[in-house]
Amino acid sequence: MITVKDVQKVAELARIQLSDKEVEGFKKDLDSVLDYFSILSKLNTKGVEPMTHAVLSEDPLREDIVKKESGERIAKILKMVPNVKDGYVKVRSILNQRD
Amino acid sequence: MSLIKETHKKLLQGDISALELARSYLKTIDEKSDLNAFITKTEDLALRQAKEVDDLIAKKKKISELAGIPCAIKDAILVEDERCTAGSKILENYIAPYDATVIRKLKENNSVIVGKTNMDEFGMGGSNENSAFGAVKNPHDISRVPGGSSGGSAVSVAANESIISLGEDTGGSVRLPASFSGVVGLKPSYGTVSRNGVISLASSLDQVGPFANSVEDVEILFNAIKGKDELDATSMEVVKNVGGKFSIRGFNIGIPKEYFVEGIDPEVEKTIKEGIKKLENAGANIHEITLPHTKYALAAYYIINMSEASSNLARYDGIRYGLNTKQKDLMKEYFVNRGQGFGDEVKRRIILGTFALSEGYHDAYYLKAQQVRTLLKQDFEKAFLEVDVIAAPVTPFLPFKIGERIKDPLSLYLVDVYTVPVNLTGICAISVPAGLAKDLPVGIQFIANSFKEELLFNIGKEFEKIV
Repeated sequence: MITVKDVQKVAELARIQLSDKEVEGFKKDLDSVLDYFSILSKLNTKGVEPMTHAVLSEDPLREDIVKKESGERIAKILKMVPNVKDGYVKVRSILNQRD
Repeated sequence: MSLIKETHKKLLQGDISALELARSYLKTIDEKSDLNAFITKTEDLALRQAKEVDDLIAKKKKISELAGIPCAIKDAILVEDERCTAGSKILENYIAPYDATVIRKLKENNSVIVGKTNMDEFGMGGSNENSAFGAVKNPHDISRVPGGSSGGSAVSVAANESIISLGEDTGGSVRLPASFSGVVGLKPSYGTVSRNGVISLASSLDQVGPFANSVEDVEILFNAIKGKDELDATSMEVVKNVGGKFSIRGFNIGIPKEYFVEGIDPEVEKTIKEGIKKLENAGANIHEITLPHTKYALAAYYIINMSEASSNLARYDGIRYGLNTKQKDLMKEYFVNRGQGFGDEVKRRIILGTFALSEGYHDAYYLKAQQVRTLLKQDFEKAFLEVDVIAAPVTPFLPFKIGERIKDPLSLYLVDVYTVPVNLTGICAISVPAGLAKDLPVGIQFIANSFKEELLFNIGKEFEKIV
């Protein structure tokens, strides 16, 4: 059984603010979905290799050469940044934070 | 009948100009706006592209079959300088700074991009009811869902708002709306189509997939977008499997008994079985096969989907792009940006995914799910020793009413039960219209082993002839 505390802990890990109503709602959803997932515990998978990807790709490395970007692409990217200063992405201070 | 080829001929003969063609489809988009298939209509882009095609035709330059063909793009695929929202409030004002590789390829073919289509937020959903921009309606019955998450792209083709469209399939998100909306939709083998510029949901499952009104047109579109891309390390070149001329006589089709169990709508079962009978009458050999681990697939899929999604969606923090609610400190900003920007289903899956990956639970859930993938793959490998393709329903249900399943997330997840095994194993599958039941479209799903899309096109075209 999932507790309210479990949901709150996970929401904190996922950096998502939830209202009390949402926490209660997701607690119910988590319970019912995890209950459905429990079917997997009935399956014996001893010795089975986990499959992480559908295809094992060949060595995907490329030559270590710098490809110069035209300023145009960079300008478009920076235009989407909510807080920009002198071409830098502005982030709020992380020092003097609680914990 | 290939609408692409027919339209191409008209353009070359001068029966219609690309500009007239584009204008007429853009007009249809306006006329059918109540279906809500589009988030952004890209009129300026479309008209510019259409004019370019007319110039090429006037100069008697050789043009691709896809030149001038109106195409709609799922709003998870980046088109440069156009808004790209992924159906989410968190990206409501995001303008794409570059083209996805598949878009670059479409532009090289001079296709005309008419708009960005509506979708379940970040691809999370099977009914297109989870969009921050409103639900999409099924053109066959507007009180019903068109399927999701690529609902807008499927409807665009079904309602003649575009000739072709691109969607994206992670657990059925092309095949399901194709089935519900009565069009053809392909989920290519993992690795055949570049994911560069495609907003990620679950990186080991996502594949861009084409929609059209015929198998031949889906094939043309697939051939245009496929190929190894140095910007996608998981992509690879598909070597054409030349297996001689196709004949339905002696073609081996497998029917998995686990896909016809209790819970399937009897009308869906009847329609699929009638279709299979017609293939048998045409000369195909029908074999009953077993895919024993089928019943574990849905749980394994959702664990992987939610876990990978929780990781992929961590980037939406409002710092480099997206919704920023300007809070007093960084941590609060993350919490509120994401709390306000994400819809319910997205939050639900991130919470579940984070949980499944967290300490103490990883082995029971994520690792277990990855082991199930291996077992499913073994099931399919064994089946494909015996048969060329597998025929099955796309989903157990007929298109349901808007609002019917959305209150119970689990009931919505069950819709994916026959589509997810294909994504988990990375193989390919196509949904082809099989007829109507209670006036609602039913699609049949053909499944083939990795890189055997050619088999799907062969059997799909044959099926279209006889159904």
